[in-house]
Amino acid sequence: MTRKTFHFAIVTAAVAFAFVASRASAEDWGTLKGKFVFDGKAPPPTAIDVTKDQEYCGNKGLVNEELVVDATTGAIANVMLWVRKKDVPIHPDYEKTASETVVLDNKGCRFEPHVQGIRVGQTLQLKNSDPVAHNTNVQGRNNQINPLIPAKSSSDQKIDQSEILPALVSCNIHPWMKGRLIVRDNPYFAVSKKDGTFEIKNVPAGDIEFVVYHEKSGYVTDATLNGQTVKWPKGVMKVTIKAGDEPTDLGEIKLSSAQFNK
Amino acid sequence: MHVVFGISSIIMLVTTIWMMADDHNRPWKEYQRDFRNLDVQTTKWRADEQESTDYQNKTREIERKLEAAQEAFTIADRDRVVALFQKFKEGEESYAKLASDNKKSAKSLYDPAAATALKARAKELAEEKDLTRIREGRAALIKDLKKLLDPLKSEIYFRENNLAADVKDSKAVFSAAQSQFDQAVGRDESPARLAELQEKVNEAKSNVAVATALSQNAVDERKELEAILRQITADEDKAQKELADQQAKVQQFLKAADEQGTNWRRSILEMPVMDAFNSPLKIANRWLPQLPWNNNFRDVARFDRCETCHLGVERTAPGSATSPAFPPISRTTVELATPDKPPLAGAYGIELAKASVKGEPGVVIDKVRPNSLAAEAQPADPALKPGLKAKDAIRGVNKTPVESPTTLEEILLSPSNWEKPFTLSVHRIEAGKPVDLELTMPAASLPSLYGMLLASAGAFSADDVTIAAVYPQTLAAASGLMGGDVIEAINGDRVHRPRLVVEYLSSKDNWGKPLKLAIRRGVPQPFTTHPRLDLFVGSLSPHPLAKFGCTICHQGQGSATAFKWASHTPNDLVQAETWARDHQWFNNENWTYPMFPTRFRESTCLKCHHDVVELERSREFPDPPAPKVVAGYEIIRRYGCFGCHEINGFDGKRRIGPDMRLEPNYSAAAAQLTVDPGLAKLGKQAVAWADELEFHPDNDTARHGLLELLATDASKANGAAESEKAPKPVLDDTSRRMEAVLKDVENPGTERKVGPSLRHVGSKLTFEFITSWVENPQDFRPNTRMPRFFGQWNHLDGSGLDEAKRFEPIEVRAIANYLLKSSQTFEYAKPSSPEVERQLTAGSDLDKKTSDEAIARGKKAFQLRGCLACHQHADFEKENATAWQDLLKKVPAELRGEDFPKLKASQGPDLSRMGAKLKGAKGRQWLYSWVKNPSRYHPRTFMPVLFLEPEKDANNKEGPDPAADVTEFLMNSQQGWTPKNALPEEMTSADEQALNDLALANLSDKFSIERAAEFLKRGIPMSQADVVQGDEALLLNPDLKAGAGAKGAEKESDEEHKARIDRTLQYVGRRSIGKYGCYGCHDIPGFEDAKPIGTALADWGRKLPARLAFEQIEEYLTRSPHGRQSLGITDAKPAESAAAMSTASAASETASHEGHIAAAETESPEFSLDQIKDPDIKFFTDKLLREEREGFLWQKLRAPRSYDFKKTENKKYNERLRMPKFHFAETEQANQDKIEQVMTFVLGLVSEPPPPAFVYHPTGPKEAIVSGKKVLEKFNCAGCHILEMERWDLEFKPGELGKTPSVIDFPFVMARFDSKQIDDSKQLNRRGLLKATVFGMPKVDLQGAPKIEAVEDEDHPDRAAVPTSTFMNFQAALIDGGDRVVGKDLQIPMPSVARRYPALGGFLARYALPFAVSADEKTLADYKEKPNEAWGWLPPPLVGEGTKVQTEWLHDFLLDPFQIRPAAVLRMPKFNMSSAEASRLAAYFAAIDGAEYPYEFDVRTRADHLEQVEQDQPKRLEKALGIVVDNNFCVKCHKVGDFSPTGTPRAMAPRLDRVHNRLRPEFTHRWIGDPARVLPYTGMPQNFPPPPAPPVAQNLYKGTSEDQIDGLVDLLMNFDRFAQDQISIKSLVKPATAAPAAAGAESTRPANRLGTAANSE
Repeated sequence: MTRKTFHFAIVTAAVAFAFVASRASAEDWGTLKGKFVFDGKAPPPTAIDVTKDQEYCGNKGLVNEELVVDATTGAIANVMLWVRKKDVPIHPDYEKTASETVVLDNKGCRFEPHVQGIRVGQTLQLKNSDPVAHNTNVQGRNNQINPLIPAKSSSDQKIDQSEILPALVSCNIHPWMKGRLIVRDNPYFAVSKKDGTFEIKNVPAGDIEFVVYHEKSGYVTDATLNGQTVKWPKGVMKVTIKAGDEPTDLGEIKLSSAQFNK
Repeated sequence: MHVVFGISSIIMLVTTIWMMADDHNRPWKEYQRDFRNLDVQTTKWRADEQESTDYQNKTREIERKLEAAQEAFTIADRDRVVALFQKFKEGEESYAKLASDNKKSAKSLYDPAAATALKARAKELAEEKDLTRIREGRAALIKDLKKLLDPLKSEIYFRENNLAADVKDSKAVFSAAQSQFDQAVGRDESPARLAELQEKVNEAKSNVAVATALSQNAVDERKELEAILRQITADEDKAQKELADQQAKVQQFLKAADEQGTNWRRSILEMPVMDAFNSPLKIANRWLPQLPWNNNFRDVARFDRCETCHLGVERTAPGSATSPAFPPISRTTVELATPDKPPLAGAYGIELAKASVKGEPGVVIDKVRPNSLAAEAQPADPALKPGLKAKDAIRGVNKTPVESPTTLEEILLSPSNWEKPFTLSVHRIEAGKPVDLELTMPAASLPSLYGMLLASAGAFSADDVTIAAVYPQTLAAASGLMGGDVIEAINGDRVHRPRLVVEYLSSKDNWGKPLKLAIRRGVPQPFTTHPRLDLFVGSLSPHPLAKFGCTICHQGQGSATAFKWASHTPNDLVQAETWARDHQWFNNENWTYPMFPTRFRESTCLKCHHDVVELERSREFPDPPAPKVVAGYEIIRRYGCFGCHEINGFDGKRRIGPDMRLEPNYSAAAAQLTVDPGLAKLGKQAVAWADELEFHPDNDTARHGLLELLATDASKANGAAESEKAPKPVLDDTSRRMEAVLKDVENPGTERKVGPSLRHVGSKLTFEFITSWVENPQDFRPNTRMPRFFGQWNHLDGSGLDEAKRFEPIEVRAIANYLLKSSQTFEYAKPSSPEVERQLTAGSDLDKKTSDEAIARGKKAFQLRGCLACHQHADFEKENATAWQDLLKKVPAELRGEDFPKLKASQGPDLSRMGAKLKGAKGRQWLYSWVKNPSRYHPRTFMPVLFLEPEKDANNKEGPDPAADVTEFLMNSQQGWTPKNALPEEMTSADEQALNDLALANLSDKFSIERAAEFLKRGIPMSQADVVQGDEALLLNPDLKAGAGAKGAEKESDEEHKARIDRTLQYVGRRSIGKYGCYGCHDIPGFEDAKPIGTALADWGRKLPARLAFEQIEEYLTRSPHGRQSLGITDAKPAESAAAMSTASAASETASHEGHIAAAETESPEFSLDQIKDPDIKFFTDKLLREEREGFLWQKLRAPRSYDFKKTENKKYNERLRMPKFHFAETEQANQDKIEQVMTFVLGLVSEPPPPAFVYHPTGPKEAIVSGKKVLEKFNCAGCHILEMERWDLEFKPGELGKTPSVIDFPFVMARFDSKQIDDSKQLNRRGLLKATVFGMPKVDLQGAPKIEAVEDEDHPDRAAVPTSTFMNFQAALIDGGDRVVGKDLQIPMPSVARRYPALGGFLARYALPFAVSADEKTLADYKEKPNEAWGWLPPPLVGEGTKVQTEWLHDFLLDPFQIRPAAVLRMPKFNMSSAEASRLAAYFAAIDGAEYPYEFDVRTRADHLEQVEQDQPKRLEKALGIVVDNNFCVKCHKVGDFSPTGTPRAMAPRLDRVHNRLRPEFTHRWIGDPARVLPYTGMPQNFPPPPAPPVAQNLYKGTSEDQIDGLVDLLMNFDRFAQDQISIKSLVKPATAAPAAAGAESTRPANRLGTAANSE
């Protein structure tokens, strides 16, 4: 094959891909939603022994956020999930947000949100809304940044490499402060809210593998879905995404409590 | 006469022929021929290797380019020709002139008609379509063009030269005119004349300008013409050159092979008779007059002819400075991947369409891979482009029709068809029309399939299937195969013909899975290349062959040219046999310097490397250069052999070898003086000096002061002898002896005694323990370094044994008695609190709860406060054994280095049974004192002060005393041990009799037996005190009245009896200590001036075997059951008796005795060396039986007393051998290995240094590194600190190590790489892999194990996950051209780790990390997810320490360490180190990092610097302080002065007000710039964002981030000065006039007086 034909092949492939992608946008995308529930009795949150900046952080009622479960509903927050493959077609709607700024705030001597997600190419704004200084020490496999953020200021960081697992975020001044940062090449990730719900929009329709992960348990491997117990080896949850406007709702996903006893 | 003449002629002829024949057949000639063959073969193979597929493709490409260039004559070319002639036309006139000037016809220079013709031809040619015609026409045209231009060109050159000469002339005229004018001015001539001259000058000037312009034009013109002509042929020329370049290397190899090979000229010269003269085969002479050897007391120049046979010794592989061209033979198995594509695609690059066209014959092609054989297929018609094409149908191969893909595959893949290319009959649709054509396609082959080429024959044997060439980046290269490898088997099947290999590798059945190839690599002796060309022989190595030759290191007979005369030394008996058989080798005893056998080859290093530590691994040589001799040195250093055997490295002032001698005994002498009550009478200063000297023996002022006082006192003693009235000396005799000890020593020794001090042993140990320990130290501590002196009875029998059994317990008892009696008082440390005091004095009565709590705390302290860096303790072994083993399983083999935590520290003793040794309150108090400050008890101990002080809590309340806790923990560490061999304090009458007999045996050396008996009975009367000296003085009896002895018969009272026994015990004890040399390792009162008892070892390696006492050793080993058993010989019958004997030694005396009788009965069993199974034992036994020194030494180290076999009967008891038996390792094999290491060292002590130029004399930083290393090892710095990071050599596929992260940072924190380094890092090696070297360490998990996780390829989850390590990068690395900065972890797939060099040191930090993280719940909660931050709480790695801290600071810190980091869980201890040692350490760190030392220039602290910057930015230091004290910045974590931040200590940082004398400014600058770029695990954030981010803290310090950092560094580096400026002393000083009267008349008087004086004036 000469070079010319080779280029031609690339161009053709690109055109074809663009065509497929644009065609897909019309019908081949769907939405995934669901709600994570703690299956069992969750331990009550433990209070944090505030050793630094007591005058400000001391009266915030800080608790350990490793495992946040709503005492009444059992809803479990901060369950992370993302599409396992790096290389997936991306819905054109996401282009608008491709270079957006994502904020991770130091607020009330904790990270807000506790788990944040970001796409490669977006800007991570490390913010400090507190009147005391923080540093935000991101210790991913591929992303390691640790700027000081003086009171009431912020620091913008360009994120250029994805992470296979969520990165630990911590503060060296206030050792109890911990959080997580999901960094993916694509926009298909979510974190369950306080009410346990999550939603990922415009996922390519069809069979897709998600990884379900939690700070305390690591990979989430044991769940009950539609009354059936399921095993997710290495946290891999296989879902068939329905195309169209109607979301693929997984309903209530009960996560067995044993895996959180680590 | 004629007959005689005739016969003698014949004899002469025969002799001459014989001589010639003998000369012709000399073995080295054969070697040279073989090597030449090898060399030629290899060179040819290398030429082949150049011609890889890639190479061939490239060549073809260039050739095509060249062809294309030759076949192209474009419109542009035509225009060039036209332009060329246009130029000519323009110049026609001038050419005509030129011609006429040169008296030539215009036509001969330039023929317009010819030009027009050429122009026309060019026009025609540009229109031409036929390639052949273009080619021919173009060549002819260019030729004619040149022909036309050449005469013109030469004329033009000529004209150019003329013009240049004109320029020169006109310039000369100009300068003449100028000077005329100048002279005229000087002569003050008329203005008119001046104007005239000026006119001339102007004219000349313009002439110059015109001439220059003309000349310039001419040159330009010519250049233009040439350029046009060049342009026409530019492409062609370029391709030609490219082709020449491409082929140069191959040509070079081929030329070399040609030159090396045989030819008819050489063959003739090598023929018999001819070869006696100027033969190409020659003896290689290396003349080394600089390195003479001693030939019978005369130094003669060294001649090394080793290279006559060892021809490949310094050959390097092409393109490398250090990899050997001819490695020794080794066998390995490689995995060769096979093509993973289906056969046709894999071999030819043809992919077939799924179905052929219906009704059409042939097989249809779907795809053709570029650069494949199919793409290279040449059509018969050269006009067509080469290569098969998609949609082509192959209808036949070699005229045979092809019906199906299977037939095609069969034909194409059968190696038997690979003799020549295939002819393919192809049916193709070309431009809509069907065409049938024939293409010639190269056959598949191993080169095209695997990238390897088989040689037609092996270099040494035709049957060797040898790989001639392996092309880079092919399957063969990827598997690691190399040119010259011999394939012995494939998948276990032997292969002995290339054909078989081809069939195996081409068989499609074998494709898709890797094949296992058994490979033989390398060449046999004597052709191999020397190992480690980086170290030896190589021209860039420290020991280039040209300078060193061979025999200076190897010894042997360098001038020999035959194997047997060279004094080769076999490494074992098998080799000896082989050599004797193959080379007629024999042991030439007449040559004093036989070669070292392989096992001792490192001995020789000591000739020049006297400091030894330079032979350890280093940054320059990460592979240890001489591990065995270094190990030997290490054992000798640790076991203290030099305590008895002096190893003196000096002969007068001359350095002759390694120097290991005890330091002068100043400390002990001073200690001895302090107990003399007379010392105080010499004055307070004398006592102070003695105290000082005891603890700081390097204090020369104190020592010289004391010496003077001692001398004065001694002179009084002399005076006293002369007259009664003279002043008497105040010091006692013992003290006076100290004068000799305290004297200056030239080249003093530096080693401390290796055992603990016994000066105050009574404060520590009991009689019971001491006797048990002395009898058999291993019983209490199996891994003790103390050797065993007693109970070595294997060689004894009969009366010799009886005597030993009777006397040895007496000696043990007497030694214990002497030690306890002479023990000096020791003041225990004061307990830190009344509770501790109660605990220490309570002894074992301490209540359980208090005790248990203290033990638990003590255990934790023991684990985390540093004890395990030097000591072992079974509790931790047990606790960790399983945990660590589990951990080790997780760690891949390549990571399990010596540095991985395994509790095995041996700097100090194993403390598992400490509590069983120390008894009661005395033991507790002693241990507490020891733990708190070991130097109080033993001023020369290596154990440091660990600062185990009670901690104060927030309310300033003292917590528990960790020293007391550790004491309690250790007192309860007993393992149920009780003294087994202890002696009862009471003596039986038999004991007393034995004591008396032993004392008598001792005393009778000096006195007649009767006198001796009398002295023993009653003691020596004081009247003889002056006569009796030394040990016998202990027998002086002050109670004995003169002449009392004569009466004799009185009955001895109990008191007298006791005094006699005590006296005798003391005497025998002292004699025994002196005899066994206990003081060589221990400080023992009374032995301060004693000399080592053993043979000096400085030249033992040259000791004549005749001077070694082999005695009855042969008898012992070959005949006695014990001896035979020690050789591993198991005889049926003697084995029983031997077994009986070995149990007997522990059992009853009778049983043992019977054993000996049994042994005696079976005497004279047969012996031959073949009975010995172990090859090493066999080797050494042989050496021993031949009475060689290696044999002697070997036996001396494994059974030192065995030389006394059958000798004791005729020896006095005290004349018996005294050397104790050392126990170097736990298993017999390991012990043997260590013995060999010791031997390697001792055999290297030859005291024959070569001329000084060859001896390693490091200077500058190298010297600092060598002497620093010794101190590092002395104090076991590496026990806690990492001194060198791990080094991983990586080989990886591009992309495997991920993307280079984009880093925006200050330029001054980034590493700099040059373009060559970057290019090198992008270079694929022959295996198709990239290479990189990284320094750092893997991150660890919560258990402290390297964090290695299985990481899946996110886009290929089906592929197996790769174990990947997260690696903390401590040094910026280049990976595939990308800068991997410090502080960004690397994800390293473990399979890409080609080689790992373990870290140097840091055991304790590594071990303690997980325990520090889980020390308490809060810490665990905070840090369990980031355990690597705990590195910051542990002894820091000292990598880069030299560029970090100031040298002077480090020196002071080492001597008086203080706590730097509040986060640390253990403190830097205070070592018993001299200022000189601290200096050496400080210099070491600076030197190894290439930093300035001992003083560094520091511009930031210069007043003018500060003034300068202050002018530019006023008040910047104040503003910087503003940042420091702002709650957003430094003080958030750092202590500053009296301010301390809140929070857990783990999150607290060092005091900033002390930075100014600790850190180097450059380091501080980088550190503040970005801490993570300096220390990957630091938690300190980047405080000032690098641009383009906007700077912070503008309200405090307006400026850029860099300004702010600069300001901060200046503040920190000048903090003391700055702080001083803040304090006003003036305001503190009260003015004198204002002083109140009440302040006292005394103090005000001087002021008044002054005042008065001033007034009066």
